[in-house]
Amino acid sequence: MLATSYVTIKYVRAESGMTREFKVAIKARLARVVGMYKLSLLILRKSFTYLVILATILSVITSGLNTRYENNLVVIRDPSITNTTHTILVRFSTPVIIGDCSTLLGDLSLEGNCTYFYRAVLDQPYQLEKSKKLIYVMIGVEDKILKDLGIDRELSEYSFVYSEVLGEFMTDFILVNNKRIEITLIYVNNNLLRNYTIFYKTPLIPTQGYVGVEPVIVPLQHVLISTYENVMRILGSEEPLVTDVVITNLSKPPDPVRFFELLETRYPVTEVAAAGDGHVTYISETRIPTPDSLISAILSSVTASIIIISVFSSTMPYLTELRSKISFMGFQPWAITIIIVGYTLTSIMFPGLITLVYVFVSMGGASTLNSMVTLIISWFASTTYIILRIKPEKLVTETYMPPTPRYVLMTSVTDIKKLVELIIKLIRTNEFFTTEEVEWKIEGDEAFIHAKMNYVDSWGSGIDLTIFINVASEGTYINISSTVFGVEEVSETMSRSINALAVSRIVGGVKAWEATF
Amino acid sequence: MGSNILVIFVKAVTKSSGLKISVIASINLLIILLFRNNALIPYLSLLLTMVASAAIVIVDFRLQSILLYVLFSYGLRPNSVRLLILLHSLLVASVLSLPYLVVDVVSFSLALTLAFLVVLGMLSLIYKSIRDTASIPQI
Repeated sequence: MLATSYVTIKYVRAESGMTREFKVAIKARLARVVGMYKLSLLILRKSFTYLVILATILSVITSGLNTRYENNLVVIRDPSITNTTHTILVRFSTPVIIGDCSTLLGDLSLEGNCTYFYRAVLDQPYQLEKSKKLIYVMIGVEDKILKDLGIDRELSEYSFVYSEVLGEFMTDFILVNNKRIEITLIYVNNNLLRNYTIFYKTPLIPTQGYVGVEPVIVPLQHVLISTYENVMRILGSEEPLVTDVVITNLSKPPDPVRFFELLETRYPVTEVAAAGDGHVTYISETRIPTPDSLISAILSSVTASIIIISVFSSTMPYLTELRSKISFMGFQPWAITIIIVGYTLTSIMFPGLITLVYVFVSMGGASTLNSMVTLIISWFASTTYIILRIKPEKLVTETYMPPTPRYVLMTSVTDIKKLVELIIKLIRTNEFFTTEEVEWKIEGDEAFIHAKMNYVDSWGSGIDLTIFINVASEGTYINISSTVFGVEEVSETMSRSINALAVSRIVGGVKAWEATF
Repeated sequence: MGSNILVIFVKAVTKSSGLKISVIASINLLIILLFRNNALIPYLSLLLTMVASAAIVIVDFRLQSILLYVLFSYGLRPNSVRLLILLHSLLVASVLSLPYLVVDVVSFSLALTLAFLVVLGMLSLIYKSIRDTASIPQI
């Protein structure tokens, strides 16, 4: 089989015109990719990469540790809420056992009426044998809720309210965990059930999602409602379980944040909502970083960026040289950009993402958000800086034009002593320089002058002049050699400027003097 | 000559990128330390300071080498040059460790005091060893 495939491939290749030129073109393209990969490795192996990696990791962890959380709080203004009394809805992530209402409200010194709900979406649906329907939602409510739904009579054992009943009631069998139980199903009005809310825009039937702001509830054919006792009986729970509590007629306006924090210490609360006086306030367990915390993340990223940028700026001569070299090798200008982006991705983003995973596992989502802000800012700032710096500013700077280090001047004056005196005077009176030292020697028809001059407009920069004077029969040759020096790196423009200012003063002075000689 | 050397040294130090970087990093670290809410932050920022100091060494390397050359050309002895460079190291180290000192003044804690001393000591040692081993033999 393998042999046949191999022969087929060879034959197809031979016949389909996969020519040698095509292979060469592919290889040439790959060679360029391999070249860029190898150049990236070259930079990655430099020791400064370790500093970049360390700075990134430390900054990401620091901003993660410095995260402060707050529970997500949303306030909705709704003028239709005209009640002066306040209502609270408490939702739990898992069913809990709660005592009486005073236990729940005791710590807040509040008084009110509690209505308990058990609303559960089943992992394994129950089956109604005769109706051939699957039940996904079981709801346990108090008698007063059943009355609101139009069920006036008291529900007996294993009686449930169901919207798909033909007539007033019917009997059926429900299969719960391979157990067959006979139940009575009592008709409930569909519209009444669908539109019944337990709190502000919160339907009794659990929501599957939202279309815009409108909740989409579970289809009623999959919902069974009954008293607590009946639902607990089906579930096999000895204690009454609660998933939602609605507290009405509160004695005073509640502080939902404090209420949430107090409940959070005792129960798995997922949301607390308070309605009244034209407002609804929602506090959920979702934690978000505080604004202070985000500022801390930005500061961490600034610190990391400073460190990384400073490391990059010190490597700029090396990278610039590398860019020139690969340009000579025939790489396009974008090659160095790809190499640099690849480098920053590998040295900043890669260790940064690994650290983010660590932050997520050990500190949670909010810290990860903070750390992510740090990582993205650091990477973006560093990459932008290095790409902008490495690009040639202008086309002319591509070709290095060193300032002329030599200048030859011819003059008809042959009095070497006077010529030397004049040049020394010109050096000493140059207003752009302070003369640090001037030394000279005359021997027959030849003279030598050496001067070290400091440029006044820039500290630590200057020029070192060496002048040879040679008197011949046809005239005098003045050879000026210059070297610009600087404690700091002297830019090309400044170097040319210093050179021109020093040499032009001598050349101009000698020519003017020659005219009057 | 002494005054010239001092002027060159002071200008080199104040104009160096390293000192500017250390000042900016120091301000950032100070804010992070002041608004910290985790006991590990001082130690992490301490490590960050170490990295910053190493970065400053790299940034200032060229300038320091040239400065050494200038100081030698003024006839300074190697030990005097080392002393000046050590002074520079201490200056940068002090700037970088300043946040710890400030935070210590605001709210004294043993951890921060230790961190401050460690930063000061370590940075001086790093600078001194780098200058002694790397720069001077190059001249």
